[in-house]
Amino acid sequence: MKTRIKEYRARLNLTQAQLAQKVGVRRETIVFLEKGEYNPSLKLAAKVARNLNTTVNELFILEDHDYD
Amino acid sequence: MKSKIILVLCVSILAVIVLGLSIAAIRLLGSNNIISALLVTAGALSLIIISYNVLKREIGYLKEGIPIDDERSKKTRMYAAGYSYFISIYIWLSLLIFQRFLDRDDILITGLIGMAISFWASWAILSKKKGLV
Repeated sequence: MKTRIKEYRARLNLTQAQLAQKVGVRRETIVFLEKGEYNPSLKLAAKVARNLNTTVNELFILEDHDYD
Repeated sequence: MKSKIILVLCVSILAVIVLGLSIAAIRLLGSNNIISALLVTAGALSLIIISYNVLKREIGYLKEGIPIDDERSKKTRMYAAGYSYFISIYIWLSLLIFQRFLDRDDILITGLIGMAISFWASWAILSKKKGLV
């Protein structure tokens, strides 16, 4: 899974800690999410997307092998 | 608020453990078991140093308004509990095999410490693991 969290976060000039604070998660969770190393719940994905003024579809890009 | 309660609980548990280790060290020293007393003291000191760094980080997060517990940390704990459950079964089974050579107290203490260590080891590994589902 690829994510565009870093890109959207940079557009809003937010640090990882600031985004974590806005979303209500630990900074490590944001780090793992940005690297695509954590599959968030739909609720968390929607929360991150809302705080970055975008949609879940824009933020999380699933590749073919992610559907296996 | 919930994060503060968790933090207070952790500090309390840590204080009890350190106090227990200190009493054990004093008793060992009293019975002229200096090496064991030094080992227990070293254990208590390393526990204090590690905990100080972890608590410092967590308090910093708390001041910034970042929660101690979130979706990923809850999931990590749940997985760690699952893994340690299976590890614990094998720890108790292996202790039962050697029960003829061990006291009942030794078996209980080893089993319980083994369970605690297996949980913390699983948690430490899983918290760094990529792709936690």
